[in-house]
Amino acid sequence: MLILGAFVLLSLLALSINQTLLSTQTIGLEMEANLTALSIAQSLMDEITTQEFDERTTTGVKIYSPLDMTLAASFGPLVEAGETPITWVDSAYYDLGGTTKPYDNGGILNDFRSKAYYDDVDDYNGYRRKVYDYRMGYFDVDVIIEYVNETTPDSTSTDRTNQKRVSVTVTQFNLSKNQAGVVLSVVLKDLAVYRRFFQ
Amino acid sequence: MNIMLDYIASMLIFGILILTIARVQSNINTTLYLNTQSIITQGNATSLARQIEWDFLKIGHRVPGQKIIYADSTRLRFRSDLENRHFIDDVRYRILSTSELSATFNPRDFPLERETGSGTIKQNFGLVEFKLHYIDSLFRPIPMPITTESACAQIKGIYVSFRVEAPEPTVTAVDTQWAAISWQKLLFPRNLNSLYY
Repeated sequence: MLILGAFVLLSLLALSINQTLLSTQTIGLEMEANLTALSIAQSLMDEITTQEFDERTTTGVKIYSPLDMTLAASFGPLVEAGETPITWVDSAYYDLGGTTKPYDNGGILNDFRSKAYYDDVDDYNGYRRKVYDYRMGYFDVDVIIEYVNETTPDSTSTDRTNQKRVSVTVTQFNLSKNQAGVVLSVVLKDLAVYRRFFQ
Repeated sequence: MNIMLDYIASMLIFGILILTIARVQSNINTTLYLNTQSIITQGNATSLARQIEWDFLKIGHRVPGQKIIYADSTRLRFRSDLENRHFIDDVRYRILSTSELSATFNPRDFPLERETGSGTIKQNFGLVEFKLHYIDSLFRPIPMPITTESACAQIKGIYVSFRVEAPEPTVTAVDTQWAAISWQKLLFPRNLNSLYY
């Protein structure tokens, strides 16, 4: 009887140790996923903030009043301005004569469509893409563009202003999770500020 | 007879006990080792990412003429006042062959060579993949190698992707693992772009 009790204790101990080891490994993988998510978010953020501030300024026209900018309700690619909306989840892939892979297989890179179709910051509102990582698989990326108050950029504005907030959200099941096991998305925010009229 | 059975049973129990403890100990050792390798790898990847951001984002800083001199998928040569001391460095990045890093157990890793006015260093980050792509102002990929001054002037963005692996494998009961991490980023050096805001 004593031996059986001892075995139960030993088994519990072994299970507990293995569980600790597993959670340590999980944390390591989550850290790796977080790093990758950050680099993906920063790449898209750089892509967006390199674009023109507004559709009205893409032709080199200077805007002196925010009232001349695109309405927040009209954010997104404008078909009437000749822009092509990306209604699907955008992705990049390599094409090797009919064989497509999300990673470099020696074929021709078909890059994200946003780079060819979009030309200003608010085109990216509602934009979604999937980014492939060799070790982690696909990361889902979502973008929201909003006008923000110039004095309190944390709060959104229904009026047009000289500042657009770009929020890039990256989600993947390997990212860190909260106590309830829900994935905590990586959210990167930055401001695109129009200051060309000062030049 | 009973004594014999007791001996056999106790030996059996002892054997199970030893195997259980050995397995737990093995798991602990493997995890500790894998964690150590993973931390080393993540540290290497972060250092390399910071270095690339530091260098590449300064391409063309205080350079009046040609900013990028040569560019292909594994090599980049550019000019920049990297240290902000009014001295233009001729900076070269290139990867070397795996035979240059034969001291590690990883057969796939290769060193990265970074050359500046201060000298040349061969860096061992555990790189197993390092790729560069270049895009113009309309985000179109520029065919490589990019050698002429006019073609180099078209470069507005640099897409960098790399994968770093641990120098030593972690042998588990199931398979052999290499701690690894991949990183990718599209960089827009300020001095190659005329930003609007």
